Amino acid sequence: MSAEPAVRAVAPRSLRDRVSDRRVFLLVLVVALGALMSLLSPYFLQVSNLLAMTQYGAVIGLLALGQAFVILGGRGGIDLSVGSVLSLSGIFMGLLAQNLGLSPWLAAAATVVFGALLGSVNGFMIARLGLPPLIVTLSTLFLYGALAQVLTNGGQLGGFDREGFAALGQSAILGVPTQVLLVLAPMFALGIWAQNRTGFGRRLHQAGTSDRAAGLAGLDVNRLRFRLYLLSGALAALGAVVTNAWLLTARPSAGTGMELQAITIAVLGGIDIFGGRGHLSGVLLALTVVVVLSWGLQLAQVGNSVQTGILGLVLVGAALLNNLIGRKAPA
Amino acid sequence: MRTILSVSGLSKSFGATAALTDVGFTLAAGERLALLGENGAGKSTLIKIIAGVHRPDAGEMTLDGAAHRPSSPGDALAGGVSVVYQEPSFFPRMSVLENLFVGREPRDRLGQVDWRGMRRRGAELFERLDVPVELLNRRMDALSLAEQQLALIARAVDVDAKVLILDEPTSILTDAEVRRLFHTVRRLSEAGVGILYITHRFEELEHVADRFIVLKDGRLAGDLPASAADHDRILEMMSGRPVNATISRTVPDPGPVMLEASGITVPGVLSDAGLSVRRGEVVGLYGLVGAGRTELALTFFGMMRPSAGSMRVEGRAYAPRNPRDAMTHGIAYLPEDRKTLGIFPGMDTLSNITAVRLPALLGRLGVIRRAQERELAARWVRTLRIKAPALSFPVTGLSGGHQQKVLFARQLATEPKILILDEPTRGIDVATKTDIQQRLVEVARDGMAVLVISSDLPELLAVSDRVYVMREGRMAAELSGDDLTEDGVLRATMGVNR
Repeated sequence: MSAEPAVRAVAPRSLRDRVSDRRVFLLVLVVALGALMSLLSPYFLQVSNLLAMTQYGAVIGLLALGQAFVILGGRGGIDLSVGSVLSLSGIFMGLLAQNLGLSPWLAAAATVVFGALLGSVNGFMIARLGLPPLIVTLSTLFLYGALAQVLTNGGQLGGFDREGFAALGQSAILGVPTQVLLVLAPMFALGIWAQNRTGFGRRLHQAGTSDRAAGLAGLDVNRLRFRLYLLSGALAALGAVVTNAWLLTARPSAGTGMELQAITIAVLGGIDIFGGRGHLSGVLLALTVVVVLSWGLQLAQVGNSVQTGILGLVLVGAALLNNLIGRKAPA
Repeated sequence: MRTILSVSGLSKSFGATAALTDVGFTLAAGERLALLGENGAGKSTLIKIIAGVHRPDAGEMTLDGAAHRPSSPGDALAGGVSVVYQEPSFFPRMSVLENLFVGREPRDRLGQVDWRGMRRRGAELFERLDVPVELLNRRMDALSLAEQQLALIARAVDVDAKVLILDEPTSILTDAEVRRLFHTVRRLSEAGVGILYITHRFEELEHVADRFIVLKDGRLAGDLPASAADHDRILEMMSGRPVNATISRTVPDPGPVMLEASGITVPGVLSDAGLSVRRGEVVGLYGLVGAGRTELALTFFGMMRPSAGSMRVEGRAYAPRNPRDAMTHGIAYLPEDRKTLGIFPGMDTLSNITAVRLPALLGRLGVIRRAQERELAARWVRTLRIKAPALSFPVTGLSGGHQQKVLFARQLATEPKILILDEPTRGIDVATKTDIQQRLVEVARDGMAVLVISSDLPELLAVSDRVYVMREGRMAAELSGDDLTEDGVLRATMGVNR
């Protein structure tokens, strides 16, 4: 008789494994960039700057989180509509707060539900009707964006500076902006927890790595994907709420272009564009990299167009690095 | 007649498995030679060596008098060996004409594709083979399977083929389609092309073959003219033992019927299929590729809806809408294709084992009870002796056999009442294979109803108490006791009456 093999819970990680983990690369990058930026601009490490930096990151971070969920779900998952969902939701909240005179807090709650509804339109067409995510969310990108313009005639709405609502976007607790401490951080914490500890997280990876195997394992992959788009819409609307509290005006162009930034952060964070692989903690690190980079470059008075070019270089650099280290490609 | 292809002393091993041993035969110009043998007898390996896909370990081949040592399929094709595989590859969204000339489109002086010349050559070719010329303009995926086969045969012979190899071209065709195919094959042989034809259908032999050869366990077991095509004799060569040899077995004491189905029909796939499995029993399901075995299993598992027929689980009417439905009725299914249908490649061993059992491991808020999950996985790793360095080890880092054990554990962990296994030991090493075979008999004896689909006949005979044979979507036979022999199964598979 052979002895019963002892099974350890955790496999040892080789140096190569550790280096090829995207999160290690991002962590090194954050530190390096921070050092570089503080050399380029003496103002970089001032508390006021750190504050402004993270305020900017809160909104885009929420969109990147939703994006990461959608991409992880696989079968070409992508949500190009998040920028427009943010714009339209912001306007929706403005209509409630300004035109109907609703409490901004109540309007905010309704807005998140509204965003979930916008997201579920994507989810319905993708998961139930089987249309390609790229086409569906490209359509709603235009549709929602146009709707936001039409509803306001290109103008802007307000009515948010009541009942202490502005505090959500313009104050800080212990030096940390309120929207980061009370919105972004809890959302990411919840996301990372759900990914690692819950059945939902497991199912997400199953559906993402093998659609058919997940179906055979008893998972209703369509229902799961529907929920992911709904979630992405709700997070984008939450982004709109935070934007309105920060800027105190809702503009129909508030979210324009944010969808590509969100995708960039998700992918830079190591979310496999084909689904199923990647950690939300990596997305958080990627968010930090992007925020540090853009804020630092702005302080150093590097133009906007150069900034986006540098972001492109970082993204392709991360992809190249992974390639060079030679992912231990599982057969 | 002039010999066009000759093969002698051909041997080929894959790892420790000998696929071919000392095989030799000749093929004359214009001759139609049928190649017969069980699943796994080495037919595919033989074809692939001739077609330049594999290199032989030993042996010589000559083609039209010159040495034939193809270094690649393209090389073999240039030499005049064309193959139409059982699962042919083509460009489904392109026209038939484009498919005919793909990669070798005629060019005009400016280097542009010469569509006019292409159309003319295509039409000439189809006329020569008596294939309807209208097909040329249709999209490849708009064609019937038979029309696709004809188009591919046309493509195969247009490159001045000296030898044409057809790998089971008729297994999915209707009778009328088969006749048209035979006609085309005859045309080719009259034009002097040597034809090597793989078939499982005995009734075809006299129509398509002048001669036949039989492979058994990678060796040549017979080489006879068609006039001597006595079915009993061929079967004896295929199974390698005298007809009617029996294997003694202990028939266990079976419990109540757990799963039964009758009249199951899925248009074009299953017609009037049915079976029953009792508790404590291992039931085998045999048949050729395309006979409908997997489809029947998928019907039981809620992945395929029958248009007619009824199913019962533990005596109660059963009509699953999806796999989850099937699971709640206590049915587990181990799919055929480990790589695409089973394993979650990006995930670790632990979550691969507990993937189906997961709902039972969730606590409040859907949180996974990790200690319980680990314990469950560790228990199955020990029970099935899965070789994994740790539960967190990536499942794709395990050997193929142990990946299969992980999937076996995944199903067993759900404690099913009915276990359906589709090709549970394909492509895994012998030791693991034996291990899995023993386990599946054990779980049946411990009170499960087990249905095993396998193309490995010795395996199926070794583990099964009863065997159903499927043929072209129907049940061709149910064999048990003294009737359950290799010969009996093969007869039913080939549609040969006693």
